[in-house]
Amino acid sequence: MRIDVTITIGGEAGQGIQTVGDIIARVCHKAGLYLLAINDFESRIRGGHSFMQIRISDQPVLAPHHKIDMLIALNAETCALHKKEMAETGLVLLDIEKDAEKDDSKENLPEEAREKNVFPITFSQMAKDAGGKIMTNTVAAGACLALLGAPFSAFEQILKTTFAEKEKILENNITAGRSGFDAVKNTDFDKAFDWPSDGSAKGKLLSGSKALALGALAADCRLAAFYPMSPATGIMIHLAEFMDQLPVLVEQAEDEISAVNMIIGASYAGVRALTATSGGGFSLMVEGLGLAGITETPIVIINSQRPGPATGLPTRTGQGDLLFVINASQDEFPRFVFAPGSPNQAYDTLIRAFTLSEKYQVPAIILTDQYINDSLWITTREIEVPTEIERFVTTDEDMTSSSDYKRFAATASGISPRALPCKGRALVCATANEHDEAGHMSETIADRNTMVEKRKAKTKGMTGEMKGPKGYHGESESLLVGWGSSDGAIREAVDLLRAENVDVGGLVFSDIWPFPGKKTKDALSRCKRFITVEQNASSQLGLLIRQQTGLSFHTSLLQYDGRPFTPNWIAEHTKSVLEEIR
Amino acid sequence: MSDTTQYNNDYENKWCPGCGNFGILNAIKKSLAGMQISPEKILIVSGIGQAAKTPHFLQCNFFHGLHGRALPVATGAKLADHDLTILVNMGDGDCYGEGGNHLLAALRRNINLTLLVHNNMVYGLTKGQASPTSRHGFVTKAQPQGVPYQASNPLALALSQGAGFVARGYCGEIEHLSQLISAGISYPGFSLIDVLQVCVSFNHENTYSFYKDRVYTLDKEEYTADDLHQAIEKSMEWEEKIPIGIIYQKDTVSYTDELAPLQSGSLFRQTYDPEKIRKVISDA
Repeated sequence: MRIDVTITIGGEAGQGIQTVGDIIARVCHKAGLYLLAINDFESRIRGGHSFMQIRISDQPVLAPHHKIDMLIALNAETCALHKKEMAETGLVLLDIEKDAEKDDSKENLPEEAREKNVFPITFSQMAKDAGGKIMTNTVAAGACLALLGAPFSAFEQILKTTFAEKEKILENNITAGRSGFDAVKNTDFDKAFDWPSDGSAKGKLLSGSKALALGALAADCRLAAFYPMSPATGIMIHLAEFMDQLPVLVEQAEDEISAVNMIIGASYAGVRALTATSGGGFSLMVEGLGLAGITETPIVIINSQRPGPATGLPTRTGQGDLLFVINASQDEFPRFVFAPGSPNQAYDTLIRAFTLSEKYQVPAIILTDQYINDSLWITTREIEVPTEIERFVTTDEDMTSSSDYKRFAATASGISPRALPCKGRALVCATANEHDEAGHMSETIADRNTMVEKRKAKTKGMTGEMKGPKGYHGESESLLVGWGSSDGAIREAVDLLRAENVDVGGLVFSDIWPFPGKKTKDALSRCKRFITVEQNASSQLGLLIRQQTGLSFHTSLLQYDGRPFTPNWIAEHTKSVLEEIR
Repeated sequence: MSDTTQYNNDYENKWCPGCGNFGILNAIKKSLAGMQISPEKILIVSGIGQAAKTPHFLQCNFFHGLHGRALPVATGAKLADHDLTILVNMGDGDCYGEGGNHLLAALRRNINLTLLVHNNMVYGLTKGQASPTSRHGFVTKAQPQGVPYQASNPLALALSQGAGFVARGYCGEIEHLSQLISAGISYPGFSLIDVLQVCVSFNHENTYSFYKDRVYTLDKEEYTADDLHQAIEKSMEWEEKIPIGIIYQKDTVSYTDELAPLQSGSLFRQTYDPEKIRKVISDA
């Protein structure tokens, strides 16, 4: 990478950190740069400490960096909290009161501002002068962009689109932005770069949540029922933006139990339906999951993971629900579990999950996490919309006799022709009880065995649909094995290690269940050892691989502090593991 | 008058002989026949319990779901396709106990569903424990010293939540009940019909003779059911005399009529438009 700069904007919740971050991200995106911006915040609306970290590059950015090149501190506490992460040549812009600025001795400055790499700057005062303290964000964004080497015009253009219909506000923001921009004129930033002058945006700038919402639209999802829960709520908020343009309805249910039952009812009645929640809400949905299982009703549930159990760390990230979602609900029934590793994959997974869910008449679960959902990404592939949607339903015309229609007719594949209620003469009967082929309650041994076997028979076809883990230098001696959102960090860690001549590759799962056992065995057949890399405390994927293939992981690199992986952390720990072997 | 035999099926009925549910089942058939809703045009959604088995015993489309959760399933189906006619059958434990929060939400949501609560004031399927509507002092094996709580009053609850159609029926008055069901189906919003149902196995207090002595039909001339305060008073009548009929009805607009995405037809009927989606996504 020619350009690789990490900027952190920190302060209290409510200070508008995201606004600064969004502006910087949009200016960089417009210029044709790549970036990844992670959001780190506490479960509170005001106060505390929040930050947004933006990593900018001329190459696709796959993971956050562990060192900060520029820290924009909207309060003094931010300096102290991020001191250890500062790169050696890192620069801190600290918001200070006006009076202190004039004092060259820095004696009147807060302690944090006296360090040599700290550049005290009167962000908030400049904002007040331009028309209001609320524009502190704009001042800070201006200073940051000036230091990066961006032309003011690029910044101004984004401000113009942000405040398009509010002339006075726009004017004030341009003034505010200009004062921040000019304030750092004589300050050097080591990592400034030649701003791309002929750049065009490389992909779409969006959050994982937005990618998931767009995927739902493209998948022809018509009803999305949910109960608010971080970090899943954003998906539904984005989806709700389209209610006046497309046949999609977002319904806020009274609880998660209702949400999952609503989408079951909607799917039974004939539309594609989605819910999104996090682990706690998913726990409440588990009986509903079983209902979808026994009534063979296709539904898609997104579980955006956060650390648990119970409330856990509401605004942070984790991968602790893998084994839970595979096994959730009493007894057994087939289901799909997917774990996309990027916004592009998340988008595609929605379309695939709906299709496969309907093809096999089973629930599909998509595991994402706070890191994927809340980060801003630039897509690396074109977003494609299917030209048509196959619904896998049957009508009277397809039947020899609609009066003899049996919703749960036994078939070799386990898939029964699925008719929709009140759409023809065939009666569509479904029950949460064990049932006969017609859908009536039954406790006979024959019906029970037929239904268990019929449901189980689907697993064969479903397994065939599953993609094996994706290799990255997959022929290497040691493989780092992960799933879902750690994809990017693992690949960058592999790059770091290979640059030091360490024979390491990566293997990342996006399709989890039914487990692609054969494909996994093949992928692991050439390596000497594999090391699992996961955000849980017991290496749930490692346990699953062992259970399904008999292959054991050498060791695991596990992080469960609620923060996303950095490639450096994985690379350093991998080196220690491999050194122990020698 | 249409024929009720079109709803008969040969699936074995699993209720106790003499169960009040038979009367309710007959009233449903009468109402559907009278309204000329053929078996393939009705969807019945139910929860779990003896009441929730109802749809198995007649020709219809049905979704027999989880305990307490019939209303969310029915709501989802109605949101998906608001052209459907949906009847919901639940018991008192199912609806007022396990599904209480869903009832509160359904009352507020005012979506066009007709909810029949088979209220026998006891748990039948699990063999005789107290239900939310069991009276204070009602003795069961699980409450041998008598139920220590007050009985809930579902009609007053519904009225206080702004319900637009609240009625009470009785399983022993089949013709009257079938008219209530028809009125509920015709009502454009959410309709709650609490049905006094006799449980011959586990409730030996609220028997046919108990109701025979107390139940009276509200005279439509005298009681117009359009005054909320009067309705609340009516919903409180119990000990000596128990009114049946429409307790309260007000003009309403169904929830689905107010939703932007449903203005050009049901979600089910609308078509997938990849061009439009492509444009929306590219602008997003």
